[in-house]
Amino acid sequence: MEKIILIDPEKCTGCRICEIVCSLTKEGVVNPTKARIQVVKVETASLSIPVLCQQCYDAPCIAMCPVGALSRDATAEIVNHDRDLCIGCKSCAIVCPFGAIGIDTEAEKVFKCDLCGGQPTCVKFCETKALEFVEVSTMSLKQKRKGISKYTELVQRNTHQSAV
Amino acid sequence: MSSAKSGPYKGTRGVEIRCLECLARIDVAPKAKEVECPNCGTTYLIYWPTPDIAKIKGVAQERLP
Amino acid sequence: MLHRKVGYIDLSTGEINESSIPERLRRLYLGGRGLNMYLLFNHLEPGTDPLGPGNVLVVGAGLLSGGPVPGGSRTDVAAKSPLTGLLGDTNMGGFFSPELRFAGFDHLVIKGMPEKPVYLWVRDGEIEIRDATHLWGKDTLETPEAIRAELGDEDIKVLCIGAAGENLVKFANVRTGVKNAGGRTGMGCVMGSKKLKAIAVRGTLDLKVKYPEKALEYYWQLQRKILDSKTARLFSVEGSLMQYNPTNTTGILRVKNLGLNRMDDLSLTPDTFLEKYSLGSTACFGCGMHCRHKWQIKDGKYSGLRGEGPEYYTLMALGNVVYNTSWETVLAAQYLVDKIGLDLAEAGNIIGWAMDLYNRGIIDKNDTDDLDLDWNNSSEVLLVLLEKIGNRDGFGNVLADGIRVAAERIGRDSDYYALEVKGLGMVGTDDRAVPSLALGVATSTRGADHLRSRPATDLFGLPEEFTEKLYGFPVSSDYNAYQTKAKLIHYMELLYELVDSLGVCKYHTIFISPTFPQFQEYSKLIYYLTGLELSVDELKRIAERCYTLERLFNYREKKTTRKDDYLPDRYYTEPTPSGVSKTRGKFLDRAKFDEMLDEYYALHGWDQDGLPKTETLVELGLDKEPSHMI
Repeated sequence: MEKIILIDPEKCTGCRICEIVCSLTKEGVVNPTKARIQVVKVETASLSIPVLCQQCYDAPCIAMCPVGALSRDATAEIVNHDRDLCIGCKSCAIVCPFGAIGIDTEAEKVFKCDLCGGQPTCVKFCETKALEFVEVSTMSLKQKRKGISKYTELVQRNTHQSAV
Repeated sequence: MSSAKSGPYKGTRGVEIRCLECLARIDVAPKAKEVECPNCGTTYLIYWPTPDIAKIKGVAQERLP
Repeated sequence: MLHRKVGYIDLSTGEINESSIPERLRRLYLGGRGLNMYLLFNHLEPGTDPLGPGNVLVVGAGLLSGGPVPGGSRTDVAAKSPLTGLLGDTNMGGFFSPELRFAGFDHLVIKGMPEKPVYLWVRDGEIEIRDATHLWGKDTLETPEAIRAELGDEDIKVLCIGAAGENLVKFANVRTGVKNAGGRTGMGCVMGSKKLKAIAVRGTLDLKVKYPEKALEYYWQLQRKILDSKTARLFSVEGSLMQYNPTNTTGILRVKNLGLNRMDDLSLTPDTFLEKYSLGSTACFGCGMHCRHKWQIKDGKYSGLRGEGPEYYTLMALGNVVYNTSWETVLAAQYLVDKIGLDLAEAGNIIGWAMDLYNRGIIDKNDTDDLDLDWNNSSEVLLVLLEKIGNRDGFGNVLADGIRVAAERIGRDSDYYALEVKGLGMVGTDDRAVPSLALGVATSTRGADHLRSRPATDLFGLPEEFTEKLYGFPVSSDYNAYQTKAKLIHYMELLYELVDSLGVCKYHTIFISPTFPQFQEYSKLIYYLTGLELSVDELKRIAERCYTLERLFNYREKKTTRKDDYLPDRYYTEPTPSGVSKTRGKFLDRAKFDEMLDEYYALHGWDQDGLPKTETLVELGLDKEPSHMI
């Protein structure tokens, strides 16, 4: 069953723990610029928005890759990056609409989120549940419920006593 | 006035706060706005920063010794 | 983590050098506040003018800042304080020190004075001095934006000063982010004197961790231990404001300078803030507690104003102490002091004192630029006064050099009401009923300050069997007691020295909950992250060394001794008017305080005058300071 990391920017506090644990897990060092997830900050608005690979079905990065290093993995249900084939041309990083592909200047390759093989570390460490690992098939309905929660709150607050 | 409580006090409902006057444990009913210390009689104003944690806002009525 | 550099910048000559940090030095001082102190002690000439080119400004990341550490976000800034003439030291959260480490540096040692305003640009192992003439005059929110636009990177972190620092107000602070501030001791004034408008930093280098898997696993365990607790849940909702109601209700908050010890007007409680102004919360680097609020004022005089904060201290300094009961004035005042870069602790204290003098008829409108400083007029005059101080305007200029100088200027025995220790303005709590808090504030090495040692849990009435397990010795569960409190303060001083040297936020320590990390946990964290094997006893010894060096610094500069380790006279003579029965009618007993002081000195290995004994210096290796290793 396909799962993705669902981002809720309203819950993000900008702590960047996801960047710390991702880079530590994937690269063995703490280096936010090597994390597969990055929290974009707009300091003047006190806003924080995590950005990571959306594992697109029709991925522009796959289309752009000249050597086939990127492909859709039907089993893992992610966009897979093959480091051995990667020539570091950076076309995928340029074309990604989210900027979710990072460039490793030391290894001379790109890198992207692979959902940690099904147990994403960032989701585990996110204290506010700004990151959630959810099933794609039921995600849409859950989003609907979240979206109407403001209405249900309104109903609760305004229900006449006689109607109770 | 009841005798001083000794040892940990396990409330059967609501949540527990400490009386700032006598340090006794007080059980607070959910959503309560006021509570009286069963040990010294000080009455506190209560607020709920989360639905399950009660906090003292201030003293409603002091019981001077 | 160990292989970060120290950058040396001479603003007079433009010379920039660097050195690595020998592991031997790490084992003696760790990093952060401890290593800052070492660098300051070694590089500063005794007797230097704090506003002259000879003063040395040291900016330091903690040994564990930036790492997988609960609350590993802190930056420490030190210099000789222009306000007190003693150790200037301040600590702040946010994102600066982790970025500094990613840029390859752990400490920056800044000397000299340039011709024109400059700022430092630190990027991946390189330091550049850049012209800041175009930045001079910008506030602390405009400055980072201007630098980011100029250098073309939105993710640059900036440490900067505002108008107060530029105008050499003696209690100007250093700022980073929307509201983080290194408030105390006037480090912003030192930056201003060096015409150093800002330090900009951006880093993309690796921060190596010795045992990544073990570190990550232990980090998870600590996160759970801390963040699943009731204290953390409360803290993540109320932030540091969580402390306000308990301390106010108990009766240990200063109100109207030192007029009352409890505010019966409950306008300023956190529940009102959460209901009317809060927009949610943000966090510092690596913190899962996210205690920093975001707020907005939706109507009224300050409609549309948005910001971050406030802290519990904000409420004390800009609320209780000055008898302001308006939340919106507190928020607007906090926004103002953040913008102009002014220490709200010092400002609130000095304004509270000025108002106290006015309300007692010691000064009048002729002194105050015609402002009515009646207590009930507080919310009308607070922002005006803060602005005047920041600009050294009129009465603001009388106050801008600190409370001791202001008291001299005003005369008329106004110093009796001036609350300070060693020249640093008093903390917002009223410690007359709590000997442990009083001792900590009196002996703090940077002047009146609770963050050197505040044993908040002393107020919890913890039974002796519990404290024996917690500290290794029993502490009286009675917070009015003098017995055992010297040991408690000594213990906490060592712990906080360690925490500040590691770059960790105190809200992740036993500061707020007895179940949170302390020595044992940090010993393990240090091992997993750096490979350094330091036992609890060794860590205590390092902390003892750092703290004693701070004491030596103060003696070297101004012959600070026992006579300076007391609270203002009023604390020993005037009883508290209100509060619960344990805090009402209380004042400190001088004789018992002296006994506590005797015991405290003995625990540190100092003589009865508060000076380190020769054998202590030898034992800690301090007889060889300054050693000029780096």
